Amino acid sequence: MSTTLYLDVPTIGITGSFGKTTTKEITAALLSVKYDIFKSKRNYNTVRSTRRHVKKITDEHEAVVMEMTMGNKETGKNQCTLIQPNIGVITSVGHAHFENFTSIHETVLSKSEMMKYMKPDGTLYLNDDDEYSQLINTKYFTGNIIKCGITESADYRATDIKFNNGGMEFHVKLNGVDEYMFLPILGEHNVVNALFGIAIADKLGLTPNEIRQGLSTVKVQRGRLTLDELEGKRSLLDDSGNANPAAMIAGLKVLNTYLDSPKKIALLGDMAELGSYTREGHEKVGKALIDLDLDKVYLYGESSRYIMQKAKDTGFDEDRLFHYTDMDALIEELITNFEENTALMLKASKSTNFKKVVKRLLAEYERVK
Amino acid sequence: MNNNPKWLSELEGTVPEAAYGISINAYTLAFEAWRRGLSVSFENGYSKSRGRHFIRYVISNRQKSVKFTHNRSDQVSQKSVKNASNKHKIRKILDGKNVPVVRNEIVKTADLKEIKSKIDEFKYPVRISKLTSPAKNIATKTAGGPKEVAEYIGKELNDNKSQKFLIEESADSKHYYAYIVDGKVIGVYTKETPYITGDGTKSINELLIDSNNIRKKIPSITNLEISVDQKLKNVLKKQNYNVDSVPEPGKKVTIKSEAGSKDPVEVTDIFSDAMKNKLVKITDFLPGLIQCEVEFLYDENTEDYSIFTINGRPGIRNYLYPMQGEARPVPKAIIDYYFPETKGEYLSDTTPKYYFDYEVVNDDLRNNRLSKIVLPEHRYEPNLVSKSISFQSDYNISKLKKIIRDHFIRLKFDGEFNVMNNSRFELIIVGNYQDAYYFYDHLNTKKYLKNITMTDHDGGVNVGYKFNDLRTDISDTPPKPSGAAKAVKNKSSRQIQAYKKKVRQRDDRIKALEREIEDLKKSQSWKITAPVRKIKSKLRK
Repeated sequence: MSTTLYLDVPTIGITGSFGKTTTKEITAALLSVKYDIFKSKRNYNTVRSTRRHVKKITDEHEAVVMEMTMGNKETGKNQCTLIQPNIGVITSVGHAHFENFTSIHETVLSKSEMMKYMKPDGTLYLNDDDEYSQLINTKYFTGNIIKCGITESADYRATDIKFNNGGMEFHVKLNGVDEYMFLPILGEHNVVNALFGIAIADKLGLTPNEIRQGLSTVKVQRGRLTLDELEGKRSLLDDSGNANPAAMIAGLKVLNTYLDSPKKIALLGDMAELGSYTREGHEKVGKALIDLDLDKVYLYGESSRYIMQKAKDTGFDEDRLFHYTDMDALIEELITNFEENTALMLKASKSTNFKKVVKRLLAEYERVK
Repeated sequence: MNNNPKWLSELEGTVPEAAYGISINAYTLAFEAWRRGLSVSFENGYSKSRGRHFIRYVISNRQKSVKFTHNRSDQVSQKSVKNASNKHKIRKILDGKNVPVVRNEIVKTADLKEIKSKIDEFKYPVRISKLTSPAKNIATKTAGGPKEVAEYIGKELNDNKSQKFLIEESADSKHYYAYIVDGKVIGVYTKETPYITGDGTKSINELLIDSNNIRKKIPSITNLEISVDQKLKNVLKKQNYNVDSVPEPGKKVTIKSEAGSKDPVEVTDIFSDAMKNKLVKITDFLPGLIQCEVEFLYDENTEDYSIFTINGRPGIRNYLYPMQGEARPVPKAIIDYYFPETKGEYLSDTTPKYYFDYEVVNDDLRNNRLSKIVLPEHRYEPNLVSKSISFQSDYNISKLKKIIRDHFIRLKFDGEFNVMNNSRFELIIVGNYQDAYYFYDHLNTKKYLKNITMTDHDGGVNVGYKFNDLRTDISDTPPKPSGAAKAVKNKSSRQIQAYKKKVRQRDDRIKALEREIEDLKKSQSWKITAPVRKIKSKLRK
């Protein structure tokens, strides 16, 4: 058994039901401006991965940014036993990996392990907008708590959020001054993810200019709400990396709100690992469709039938809903309908393999930038 | 003594009384391995040759397992251990390698000429041991020369008590004991008549109290404390002291007679590296003796030495609990040797002081009620705290016991629930700091609990959950302070019953003997021999 790595340098552990990888990438990008950092690779966030990462940390590193999954009871304890964060982030609490839990309270407890096993006098960052994050009982945590979000009560709050030039513009108050920021990725939820990075960077002494510089270098992995502008003014919003109900709704909002194509299509697939929340989670997405102005919604997979049914039940135009169980037929249909001046968003769990759809579309239409 | 020996901090409060005595060898070694995260299991072995059960234990990690008995692994050459058990033989081997050894001869005759021819050049006094059985040498000492040896042997032969005698030179020289593991001297101690060292302010009585406070902490099954009795007064009188005398600073005052048991005094640093290397090289003549103790005589001025014997089955208590000097980490050296990858990797460095129960080993395993015991892993995670919570309550103890136990399990606490008396209770808990404070707050919401206090607990904590009803203690002694390992508390009701049974049996035996005496006094022979006893009594007067 290896002993815990306790570091004197900023050691940031990022967990949550969704937004972990993006928050990690943003935080790492910001801190890289000032520090020689170690960051965990891609979305390798299991205990086994953390064990491997820890071995690579050296005395040269001035800060450590680790993504840590806490999708099971005691996983958080095991993660923090390998390396104890002195800065903790819980990006959100939701139904991702819900198959491992019997209630949302269990999920809350699981994510709360970050708070329980991180350095007791460290700083914990929470999502002030997230419904279930409010259930985290911070009474016995002896460190500092900082809240990030769009809501007024947040310590680090994003205001004036706008979509522009393939990214998000917003303002945040740093040391009492309203600072303009630009995040080159899409979605309000990613603005909140960026707020975590900004708050940590601010705590660690980065100036607003350094923070802006760091944000400009943020790159997200393919399939995490990446936007491709294709020939014929086609926009492909690829969010096929992974999915849970909250993230799917957030992605749909990006398509609906921030892309100005005259025609908008969504392709939604099954969300896996939801366990007992599978039906309710899909229905939640179906219910959200009525508030969105989408021309067509394609659905793929067995669980996505729940989306379809709920959308119908809540009054979404039945003629705009299409369900497929054959991937090849679906691709053919999409190519036909992905006309000029159309924005298409794909979202599903990785196991649904929308990567294949994306690959085919990118082969069919040339990128223009 | 300087009243301030330095013992190993990791063993403070972590040695349960069940591990006292000879068990300290196995316990401290298993404990050392356990706190490094190694797996430890105890087994009930059976020795056909000895015809009895014995405890052995297995220390393992994913790669290997090593079996131990006492503090010796099965990798130590049995042949060498056997050779080492015969000091006459070992001296022959070493002498053949030009190693200076204590000279000795086996004598079967009282003929002075023959004795002289054998031991005339010995350094006197010599020690004479009757070799009735190698394991039961009864030694006596003579201060004179060969003539006295011949007289003694002659008397013994006439009495037909023994036929063979081992004569060893330098009987009154100080012996030194060096523990060697993996070609390194880990520690050296010698034995000295117990003494206290004056500080110019404290009386002998006060210094004795200090000394006894240390002695009572030694994990021994016998009482090592020095009593203020006539024997002590006589010893002090010889030095022109009494118990109220205040010895000058640095003045050594002997507190036991020369003939009594001696104290271990750690002296590792008086030996040069060259001398230590010599000791190590000597053990090379017994191949495979990975762990052993070299017993030798040594002259500090000339650095001359001679080997008395090599012990293949040495105990380690004297290295761990010297009455003067620093404890030497023999268990650490042994585990370092067998599991070098765990060197310096202590789980216990960042956790409260855990220890494991040894009562179950000594009781259930040794008495053949269980065949194997596997210790739980040493708990290891960040943010563990150790707290002592005390409260008062008139609530039904059975219900209280269940409530507390449920919380221990739910909150993953280790520790103890101690019933101090009918209304006073103590909890020793180790758990996550947030859970500890939550639990304290939770207890405060219960109306049936009063005067709840929570303080930091620095002592050892038994791994797992344990309920100790101290009201059932069979002795009248007050409860021992919490923190230290409390074996008295740990006596199970079964053991208490066993003790009571022993007391009953002893009482019955006394009554039977008293009856026998009465019967004897009523007998005819007693009456007939009455005049003889009267004459004897008068003569005595």
